[in-house]
Amino acid sequence: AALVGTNPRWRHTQATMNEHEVATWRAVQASPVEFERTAREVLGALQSRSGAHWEARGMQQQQQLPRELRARVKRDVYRALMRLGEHAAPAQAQAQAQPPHADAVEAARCEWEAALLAKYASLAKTHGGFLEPRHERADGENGGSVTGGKPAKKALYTPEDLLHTLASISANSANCMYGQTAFSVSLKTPTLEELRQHFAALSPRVRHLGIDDTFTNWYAPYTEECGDRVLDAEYPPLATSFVVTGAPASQRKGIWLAVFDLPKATSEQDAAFLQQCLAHASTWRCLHDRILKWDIRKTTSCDDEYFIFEDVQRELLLTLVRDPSVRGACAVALPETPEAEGYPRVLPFYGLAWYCAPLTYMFQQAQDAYPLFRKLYCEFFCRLHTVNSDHSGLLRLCMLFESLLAQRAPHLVLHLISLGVQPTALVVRWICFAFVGYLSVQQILVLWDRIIGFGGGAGLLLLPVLAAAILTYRAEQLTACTTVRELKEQLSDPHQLNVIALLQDFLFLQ
Amino acid sequence: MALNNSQRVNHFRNFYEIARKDLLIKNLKRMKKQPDLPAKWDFFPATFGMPTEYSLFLDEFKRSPPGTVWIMKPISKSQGKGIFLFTKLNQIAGWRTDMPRDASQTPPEAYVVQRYIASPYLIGGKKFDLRIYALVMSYTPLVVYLYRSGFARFSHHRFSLDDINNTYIHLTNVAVQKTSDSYTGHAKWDLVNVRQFVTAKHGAEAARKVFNDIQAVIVHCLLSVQRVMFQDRHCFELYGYDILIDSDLKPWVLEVNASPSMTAENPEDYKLKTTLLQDVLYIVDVENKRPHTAMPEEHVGGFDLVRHLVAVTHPVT
Repeated sequence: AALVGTNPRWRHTQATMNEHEVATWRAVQASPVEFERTAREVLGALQSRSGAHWEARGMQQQQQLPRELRARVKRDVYRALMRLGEHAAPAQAQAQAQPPHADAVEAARCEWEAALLAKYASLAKTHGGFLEPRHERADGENGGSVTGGKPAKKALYTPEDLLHTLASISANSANCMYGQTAFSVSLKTPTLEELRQHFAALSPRVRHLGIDDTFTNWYAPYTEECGDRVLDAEYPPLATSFVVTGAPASQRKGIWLAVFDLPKATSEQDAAFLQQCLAHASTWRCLHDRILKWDIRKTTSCDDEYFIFEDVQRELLLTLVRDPSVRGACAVALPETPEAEGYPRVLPFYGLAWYCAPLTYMFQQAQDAYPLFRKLYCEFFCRLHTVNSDHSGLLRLCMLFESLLAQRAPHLVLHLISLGVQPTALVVRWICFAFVGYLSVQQILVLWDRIIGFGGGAGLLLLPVLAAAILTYRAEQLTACTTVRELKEQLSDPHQLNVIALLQDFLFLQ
Repeated sequence: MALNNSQRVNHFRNFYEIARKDLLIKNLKRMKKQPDLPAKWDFFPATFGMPTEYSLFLDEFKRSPPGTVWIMKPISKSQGKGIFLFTKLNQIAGWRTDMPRDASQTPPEAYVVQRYIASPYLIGGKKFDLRIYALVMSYTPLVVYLYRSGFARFSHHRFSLDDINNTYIHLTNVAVQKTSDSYTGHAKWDLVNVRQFVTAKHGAEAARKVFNDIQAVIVHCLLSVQRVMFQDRHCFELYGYDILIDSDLKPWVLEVNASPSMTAENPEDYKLKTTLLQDVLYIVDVENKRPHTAMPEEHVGGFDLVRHLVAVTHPVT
């Protein structure tokens, strides 16, 4: 069955696969060096995007290879391309022109990181040091938790603090849009037309899980069948193009693993690493562990949907802050922390626990969830809580939200400002945490399917679009509110919201 | 004293036939003995009234492997009061009938002993049971509405059979869990989340089967007491079923409450219970304002009609 909604990024890959499969297969048989060379040629061909390239080489028509071999060749070529692509990417990134005001943002980032480290050090002073060996003492708590000690009184920073930092980045030229924006830097954000083109796969003409399965009987079983085939193929581009239209709940785990080319069963290395981190946490009382424990108590434990899985969440977070590979794998630069023992690799802030909470619905054990969690954090979530001028960083997402809302519901923006509320302040938590803690788990997983499907660079743009869609949908009730408390009450019940319907309506139907 | 058309009572006269644990078991066992049943009547664990059926229990106890856990529940107490687990006979010596008893000793309180379901379905390593609301508008013919948003009550401690005296692990009543140190004010999950979890872990088909089985079990319970209930067209009753799912995804009926608690722990709870009551009063229609139809409506508010003479099937549950 033909799958709709192919990711535009991979369309040309699928078109030229047939021609070079034969050559690649021969290369695999020959030697690793031969294979590298052929894969490099493939990469060159894809970048030049011309079919004539192949005819000039005299490539023959595709011979009939058995299906499993064809699938294997596809996977091998894909992985080789990924490896080569990693080497090619840094050069491309530097070649891009620096956006204006990026240095202002850079300066603000350095200042912010320095302030964070200073705060961390002061927290350590008030709470008894960065780390100390855990003494043998009677475990009074029920069940015995992994971390102990007094919870830290205050988190390092909250999304509101981050918004405040971003809003106070001042640039030399004032370029405020309508004079009503929270930010004084001007960075380019996509227009509505560009968003419509990029997210064409979300259009109402395309069937999506989350909406089409509620009013037809056949769509859900049909997608499950397609999902079975995607899982068998184990081919990441296919999984990516499938997940854009939604993954069935029972197959979501396998499909997300397939999208990132992660093995279905956790490798022994990963399991051993997790055990090592947990052992470290139980022998040393670390400051960052205490902050994480306090964070979980304040965020996910108080939420009806996630409190059951708090031990899995704790294990995932403990491992994340100790993982040395996270810093290098992240899409944006994380705050630099010294390499010393007591310092975490990822500075815990208020709400770090939200990022791993929906995963606990799909995985029962931390060791199965950890590789996926690390990948999601490095690709997507690290952009949402740091100061940078990345295309999908929090700063640009908030600016995109403001421009979208001003375009669609200017009266609402005026009304909110007249009440003394910046629209961004209402939604910063939603964007920063990818709607975890606000929407119900089902809707969050539906949304994350799309974010993963569109990839790290563009998928996160859906967050401000959805935020603007929710506010526009409730615009009538919100403009009738006269106090801030009424505003918060109006926005406090997300149970009726259907993510896909809101996105489609906002992007395509108005 | 007769009731007129605009008067309703929210209990049936002999509701204790289903609300008292020993009478419910008596009715279920009686139904099970009948020759041609529509389905298997094995959704309740082996149960015996104490001290009346002590000898029967003794036979069953000797037949079961040593170390089987049994649970003792008082007949008409609520909120988990007086419930305990045991594995040895000497722990229930007060209910023995095979030894002569002094006239001066007070007779033992009426209890019910049940085989404990030792492998419940665990989410996050914790035990939970389901509270499902069923509104019975009449017994003959049997008209039952099921409320779509029940909830699951969780224990805050990881489940294990090592410590049978720890009530925090085994009893999921909110009244019991509230006194635990790990209580965070949140112990309930909506049924939708349970379904999402089961779908993600076992597939959509298994989730559908579980919920269909739960519905069947609720209706079968009501069928068991149908013959003995005094039917009155002015009576209706809202039952709170406590259902436990075991690790094979099979539902078991623990008990039926004829007066389910309407207190709210937090705002979401409050919203659920007020909406529930609103829908109940709409269906009951004391003022006779709704138009009469030959067939009752299939979906009213949060309620789905599941039984009117025969089972009512819905395409997507």
